[in-house]
Amino acid sequence: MAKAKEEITSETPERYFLKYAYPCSFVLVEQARISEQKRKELEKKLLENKPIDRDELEKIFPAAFKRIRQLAGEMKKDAWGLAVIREYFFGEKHNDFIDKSDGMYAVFGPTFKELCKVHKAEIIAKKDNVLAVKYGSVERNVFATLVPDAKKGDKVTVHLAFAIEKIN
Amino acid sequence: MIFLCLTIPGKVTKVEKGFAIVDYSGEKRKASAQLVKVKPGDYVVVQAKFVVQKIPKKEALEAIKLWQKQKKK
Repeated sequence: MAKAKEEITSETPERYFLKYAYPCSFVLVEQARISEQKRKELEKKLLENKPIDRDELEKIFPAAFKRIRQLAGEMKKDAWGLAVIREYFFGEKHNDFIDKSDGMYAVFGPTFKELCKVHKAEIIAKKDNVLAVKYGSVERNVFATLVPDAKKGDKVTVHLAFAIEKIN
Repeated sequence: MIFLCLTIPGKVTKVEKGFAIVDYSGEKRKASAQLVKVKPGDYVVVQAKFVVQKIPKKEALEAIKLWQKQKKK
């Protein structure tokens, strides 16, 4: 665990998880699974570097944690270890679950599936808070909210409408 | 709840000044078209009041059908 923490400095597993789950929080509001007030509260904690409650995250995102616990078992590590959560999102295990049409993904069409996956992309342009990114033959625009200092030429991961983290 | 992490698609009915009017089975909502260029008739997914993805019509209609079925349960 200590080794993984060195790789992503000043990153807690809770923050790392919430960065990737942040785009989904908007959807949960639309579905009335959480209130807009709750979403803003999570957003504030994320953007202002405040502590995030892991029990609350587990309650809000149960499907993700079911899969993360499964992955933790396979890796023989603690589900809340940064290494496991990183493997889930950055290591593309989350994408594998989508490809396997696990759970709710079974009913998603191909465009939805691609949108839900985490992609590693290069920034080809930046305008205000919007990044134009490219991966494979796909070009998309995403928000720079979580990577405010990202610039053209940087590589980032993208999830739904947001760039999530810079790739070194 | 099937669409745990994804929202229902809507149909663009009008585009003006960088905004799209998106119809959800009768309910109309306004969304920014800053991220994705759209035209009337396109099916789209909106997130945080921004159009984030165009969805092929067939896929969108299937998703809407599933969503409505789920709602009745």
